[in-house]
Amino acid sequence: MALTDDEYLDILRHLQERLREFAPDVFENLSEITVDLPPNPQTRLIRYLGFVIRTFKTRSSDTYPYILDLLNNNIKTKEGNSIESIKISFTPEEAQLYGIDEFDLVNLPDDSAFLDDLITILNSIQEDESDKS
Amino acid sequence: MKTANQIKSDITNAFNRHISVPTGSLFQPIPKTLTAGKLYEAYILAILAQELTSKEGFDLVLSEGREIRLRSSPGPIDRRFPFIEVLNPLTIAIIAEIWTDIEFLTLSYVIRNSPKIEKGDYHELDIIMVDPEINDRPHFTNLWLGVECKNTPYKKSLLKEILGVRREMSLLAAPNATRFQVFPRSEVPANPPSCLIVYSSSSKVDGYTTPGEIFGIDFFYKPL
Repeated sequence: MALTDDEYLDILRHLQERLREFAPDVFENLSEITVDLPPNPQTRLIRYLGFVIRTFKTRSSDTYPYILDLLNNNIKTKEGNSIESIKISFTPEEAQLYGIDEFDLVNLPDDSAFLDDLITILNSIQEDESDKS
Repeated sequence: MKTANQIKSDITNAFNRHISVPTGSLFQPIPKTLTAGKLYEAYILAILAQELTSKEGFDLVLSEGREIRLRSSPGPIDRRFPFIEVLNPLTIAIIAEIWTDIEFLTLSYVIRNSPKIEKGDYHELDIIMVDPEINDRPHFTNLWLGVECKNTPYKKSLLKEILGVRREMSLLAAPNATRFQVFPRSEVPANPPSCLIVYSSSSKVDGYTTPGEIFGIDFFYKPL
């Protein structure tokens, strides 16, 4: 049986509460898009969850090998080796604050398992949408 | 079909299993918005490299070492950092350089003709392609291409920001030939004829492209 509009809104609120608890920066980042979401509760939830998935995807190290491959396919090195890393270099002030001079993006958290779970949830909500039509 | 309570439970479980609750710490962690922004910048650098090699036929070579290094804060060109040399494949001559997180000196600074550089006299671009062998902040006339990488929901203030950057890169003019054959464009309504691109991970960027048609700014929706 398809979910009601109130249930979709309840799920959306639940998602936002978990986000505020576990990833307040993402919640904050997505607060601006909330006002622009479509009025239909189901579409609203699907759109918001899509934003959450995309946001976590850009914070996860599982995209790192793909980016490195793309760089190596198009940029050579002087010695003919491959590019082996992508690093952030900090200013002296930031280095003092963070305790490191540079950060290799390969050390970002791997959120791929979390993303898989969210995609499964998104699919189940979209299945409900197709059940309705 | 799952019930609402089952879906809510799945959401809670996903967070509980994979994401740790942030805790107060004496040590300042590196902001995730910074690392996410830099990962997106690296992705766009790779996309740009692909476009320049496949569509323009340039050869791209890292100036030294085996690391791409992105600066956490923008600044002048610092030749201690590696950069990307852009080579003409026929002559093997270096015709331009690609740098990240660089401030350029603006049109208004030059028109003002003041030797003192104030904070408003330079602006950052996430990626630039410039004339070779430049030290310090490149002059707006040195720019072949400027790129902004936006890994946040696209909004009106970002459009206003890029329109301001375009204003400080060149004057609106009849179409002039750029330094490029195809990508990002062969002509631009600007003098000097520098190109300006916005890459955004937000599909909302597609709603803000119309001023770019007049002022020569190309907007691309490019999710990671």
